[in-house]
Amino acid sequence: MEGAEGMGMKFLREDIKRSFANPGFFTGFFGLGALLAYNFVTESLHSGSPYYAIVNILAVSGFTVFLPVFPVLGYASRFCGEYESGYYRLILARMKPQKFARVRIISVALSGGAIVALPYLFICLLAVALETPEMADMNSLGLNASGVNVLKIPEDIEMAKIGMTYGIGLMVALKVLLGFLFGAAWALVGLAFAVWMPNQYVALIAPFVLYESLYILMPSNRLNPALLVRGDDAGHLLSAALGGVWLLAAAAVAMAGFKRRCRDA
Amino acid sequence: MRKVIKISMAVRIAFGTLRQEMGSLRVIMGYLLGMTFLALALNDFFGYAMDIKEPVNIFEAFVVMENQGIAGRFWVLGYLLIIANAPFVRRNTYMLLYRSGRRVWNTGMLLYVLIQTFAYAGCLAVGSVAAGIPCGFFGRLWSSPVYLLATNASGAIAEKYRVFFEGAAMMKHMTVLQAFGITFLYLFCYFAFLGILLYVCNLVLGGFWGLMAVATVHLGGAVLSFTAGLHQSPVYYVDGAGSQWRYPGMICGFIFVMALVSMAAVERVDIQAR
Repeated sequence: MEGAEGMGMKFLREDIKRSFANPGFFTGFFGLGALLAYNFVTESLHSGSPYYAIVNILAVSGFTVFLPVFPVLGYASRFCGEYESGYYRLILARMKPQKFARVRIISVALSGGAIVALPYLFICLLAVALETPEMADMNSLGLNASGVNVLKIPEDIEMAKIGMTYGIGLMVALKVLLGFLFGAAWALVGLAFAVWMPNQYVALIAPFVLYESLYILMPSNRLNPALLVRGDDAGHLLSAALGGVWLLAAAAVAMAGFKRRCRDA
Repeated sequence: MRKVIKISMAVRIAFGTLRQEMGSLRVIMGYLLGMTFLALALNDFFGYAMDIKEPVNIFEAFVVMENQGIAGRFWVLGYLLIIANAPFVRRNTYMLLYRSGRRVWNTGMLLYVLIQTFAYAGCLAVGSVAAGIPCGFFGRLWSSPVYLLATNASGAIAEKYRVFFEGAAMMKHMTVLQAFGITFLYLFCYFAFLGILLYVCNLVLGGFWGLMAVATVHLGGAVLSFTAGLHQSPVYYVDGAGSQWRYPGMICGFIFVMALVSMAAVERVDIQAR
């Protein structure tokens, strides 16, 4: 007979598979991909600079206002259906609430993070592939032969400095990491709402409301999640660290909700 | 006398449905979503007003915000969430049908949609007025920031603050209160049209088709506003000759026709399947 540990790992594998193989994941993935592709085509195509394209798509264009909609679509609201149907009791009959919570938190975080990170990666690779530096663009930052910034990229933004110092690969990697942390954190916020108030509409909409409230109430604060996902305002490393803090905080709230919700199951 | 009784029954059904629906988390989230999109739009407008350090008329924010793309495309999402379960068949619906008849019940449901439309549009209007009180004044006059917005031909303000207002004609022919009223009417008419369309399509064809019809109309309207210049905001229709009344009149006509269709259809549809 399979041990409890083996069963737990098997449940984790199955839950991760489900978190990626559901319509919400593909809706979020293709929705965000379409939005980023639209921004690329309308604002950055044929700009002659992959740096400009990536900066413009991921920092300047206004899609960050709607970003938290996508990771929540993946797997965050799954618990609502399990709770309403009573299926979660069958799960709890075979494992402790803490184990169930850990498994679900991991799968939701991975799913939400992938929904944001993968489109980020694809659009950055597309920008690098299509936007070959042209003219006298020696350092790909929109400078012409005379050193005039014709594409108007601020040279003092951290992303530009990282690109110039370490290459575009690290720049893309940092952006994808920030996107992953953002997606994972906000998917867990959705899970936290789902666990504390098992209603699908709350799980899908409340994270967006919370995000916009933070966006409006702390426009220049480094804890503003919209600034953290961009990384340029607070610094990429600090943004990654704070993104991790958001993720852990959301996971803690979700865990507390699981303990409370599953206590009397 | 029987007609009066039927009307009062329809009104009671409408308010009874309102009481039942307002307790639903879906409806609460719909209002919250609408307020969130309103706050996003107001954030840009008041940011602009505070930057140039001039007060605004408390009624102007609603007029200007209704003109923005985010208002036209996203304010409706909260409203659609509120009325998403049209035709509002609940456990007590059969008792209502038995006691009032299908037509009276249908009238009650149409009234409910209109009441929710008024409440939602009212929340958006009141919210924008309330948000403007700390940095605004009350009166009939237009403020300097809005005047600058309307007359800023270069679009520099729009680019910097993401706010634009093409209401020079509106400012010329109307006071702020009149503009507020006509803007509210336009918003109410559009939402009511979508709500009644959703209700009628869900009643006659089923849930999926109602949503498809509303999505087609809404997205089609957005495309037409870009390509053919057919806008929903009254700022484009005010010309001092009363042209601004054509749109509400047309919408009311469509709503009336859809209401007649629902009256005919309700006698035949299988309510249980809805």
